[in-house]
Amino acid sequence: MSKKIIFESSEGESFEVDEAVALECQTIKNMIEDDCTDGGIPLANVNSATLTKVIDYCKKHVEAAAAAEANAGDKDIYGANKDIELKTWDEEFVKVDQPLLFDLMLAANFLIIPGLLDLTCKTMMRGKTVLQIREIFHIKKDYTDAEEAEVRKENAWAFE
Amino acid sequence: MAEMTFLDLPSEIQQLIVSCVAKNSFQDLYRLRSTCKSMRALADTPDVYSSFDLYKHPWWTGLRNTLLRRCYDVGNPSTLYIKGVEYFYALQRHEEGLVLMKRAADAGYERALYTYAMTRKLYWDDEEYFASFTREAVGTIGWLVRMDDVPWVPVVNEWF
Repeated sequence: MSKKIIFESSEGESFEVDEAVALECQTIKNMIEDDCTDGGIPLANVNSATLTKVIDYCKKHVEAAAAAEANAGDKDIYGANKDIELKTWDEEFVKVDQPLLFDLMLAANFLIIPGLLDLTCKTMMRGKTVLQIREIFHIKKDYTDAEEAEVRKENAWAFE
Repeated sequence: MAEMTFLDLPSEIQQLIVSCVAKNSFQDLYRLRSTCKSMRALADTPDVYSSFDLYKHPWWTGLRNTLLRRCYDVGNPSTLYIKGVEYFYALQRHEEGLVLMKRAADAGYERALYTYAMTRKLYWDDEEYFASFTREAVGTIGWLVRMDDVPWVPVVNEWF
């Protein structure tokens, strides 16, 4: 029976996870190493919905790593299929609304989960038009029309 | 967090997101650049230039000499790699080529690690670097090798 770690979300809800799963977070890993996780870890800036997703992500990646380990002998040495499966899972995982994606990114940054941070950051802007980015992130255009045309012209191919 | 105002985020996080986007897609980055002035400033930092993967640059648009030069100046791994391979294999300048490849490999650029290890093996029968392949790296290498559309790399050395 592996050791359990308890997370507490900003709403005060408790989440029990295996230590292996918690170790995916560099921040938590340091805490575990320093042995200061007794009585749960309060995560005041992560809400329950986000925390649930984060735990899902860590679990999946721990399982995938374990599966990779177990099958190491009898797969083709490149392990390509597995990678694709995990990638597909990741893609599905980040199909969430923008606020949640944003919270996930912040949580990944805070907990230091490099894979998740990378995933959320790149998903956030992917394939969005300039107007969409402005709207979603409340960015005010401070270019004059002429300036904007100039910037767009520099890399016109990106807007096709 | 209900409202997502990108520009209210701590600046390290903004920078992180922009660098992440840069690593992933030139298109997304260029569109992001066009949203407002501070984005444009963020997209213009050494951090961003060192995160680019030149292999993701759409080659049909032509390469910018300035882009290459700036990437090289900040030690962008994919740029060091391209330059190194070219020195070594196209221009027969072995010593300089090898140094550049090693720098890219040490920066964790997998293509470079592979090429560097293979080159050392082929030319000096030195297998030392094979030991630093991680299982993950082997997976990626396998994936890269199987990829059909290896980008065509023009001789670019005289530009930077």
